Amino acid sequence: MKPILLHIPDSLPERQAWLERQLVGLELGELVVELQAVHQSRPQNEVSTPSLEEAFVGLLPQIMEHGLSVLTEKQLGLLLKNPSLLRELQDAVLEHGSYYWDTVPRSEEFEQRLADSREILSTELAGQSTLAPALNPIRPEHAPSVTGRSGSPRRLALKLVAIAAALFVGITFWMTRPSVPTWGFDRSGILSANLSSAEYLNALATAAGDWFNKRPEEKTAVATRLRQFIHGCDTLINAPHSQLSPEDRAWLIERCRIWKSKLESQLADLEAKRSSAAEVRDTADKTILDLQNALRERAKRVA
Amino acid sequence: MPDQQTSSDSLQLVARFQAGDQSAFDELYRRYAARLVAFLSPKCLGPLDAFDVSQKVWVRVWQALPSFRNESFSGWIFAIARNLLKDEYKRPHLKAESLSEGFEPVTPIRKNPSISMDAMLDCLKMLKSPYVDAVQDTLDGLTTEEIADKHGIGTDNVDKWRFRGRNLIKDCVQQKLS
Repeated sequence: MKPILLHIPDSLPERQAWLERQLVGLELGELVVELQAVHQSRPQNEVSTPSLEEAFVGLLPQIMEHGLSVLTEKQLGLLLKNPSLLRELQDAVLEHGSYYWDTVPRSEEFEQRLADSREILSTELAGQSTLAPALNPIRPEHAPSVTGRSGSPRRLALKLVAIAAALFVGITFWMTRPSVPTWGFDRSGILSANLSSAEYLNALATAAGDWFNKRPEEKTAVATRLRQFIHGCDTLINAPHSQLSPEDRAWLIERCRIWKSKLESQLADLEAKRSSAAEVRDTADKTILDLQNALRERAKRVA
Repeated sequence: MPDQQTSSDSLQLVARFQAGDQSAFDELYRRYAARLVAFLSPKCLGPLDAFDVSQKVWVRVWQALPSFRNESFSGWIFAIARNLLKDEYKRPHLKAESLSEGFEPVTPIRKNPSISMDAMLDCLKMLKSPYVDAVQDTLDGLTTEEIADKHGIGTDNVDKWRFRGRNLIKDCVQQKLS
């Protein structure tokens, strides 16, 4: 695995979004260690590290509310130069940050481990019921009684057959259901978030950045990733966007259609072998960066 | 979550839970679980795992929520997390990972030493290139304009320099690791 800091993007909006992802992610500790190691390896003038309040005088409430897009390149640079500030800032945004910080994408691995943890906790709490006598543990409240109150052997057999059939149908449906992506514009809660127009457009730009979380190289994997992003575009086109004015909504949907058609044509090139997987991924990178920039520019205008 | 609006929402959820509505606990979990794990992650060193510690926090929350009377759920749950970390680091086998003042080490200790990072530091020392300097300048907090001034190039070229610098470092790291 390459050092995390080699992934720091060059453009300011991308760097802001990337650092936001680090702040809500699992690798911030590693990033801080890497930055400290790089700084310690070079002779530098002794300058004391400012506190978070000193570094961002009067800006902290805005960061809590709107994220790092309120920072200039110089201010953002302070975080890279003084990595311990990243730790302080992380604690602050996680404890005091607004809903905005919940819209910053997390890695799929993080999401998966959270889901697994929820399952384990549920089991653990089921065994804790005596500790909270007034409460029932988290589990299905009324487990169906298979035996029933007056079940004759025949009725019982019929019930069992019905349950088996229902299970079969359920499992078959679950196994064959189309896999709906959970990232990008399909990220849960992103389209229904209670945000201002500018925040909403910025949150969409950040969600589009999920594209860069995985870097597939094989043709099939690139095609799948592209299809999933395009699925998100469809979701976006069909969403009500109640956070936006009619004019901004019309702009967004029109832009979405254009982005979608570009991505579809890139997918077609890949499938027809007119372009290699790497070429298509690079072209899609550019389309998605343009898309993010357009969203952020619009956000600035409506703010 | 913890802004004013959502903070009062969280208190409503606590009230619902205290009145016997268990789905409110699920909602609190959904709101705070990811934040809590991210908060714990850089503080969990050695054998401690952020997800495991987070589980313990939620069990404590479950146990204490019926008597919760605080003004802020967010402040409360993060205080539980901090206290729990202190307890964890008091355990004999974890003491070496912590330090005298509280649970947070002065110098973070890697869970696994990153070989690639060592390779990168070697590469940074070895590579003498203005492109690599541009990458280092970025890490030192210099702006695009400042880097352009320092190297006497146009701001348009700074991204190209950084791109080339990063590729030089990546190639060097890869070579060292192979």
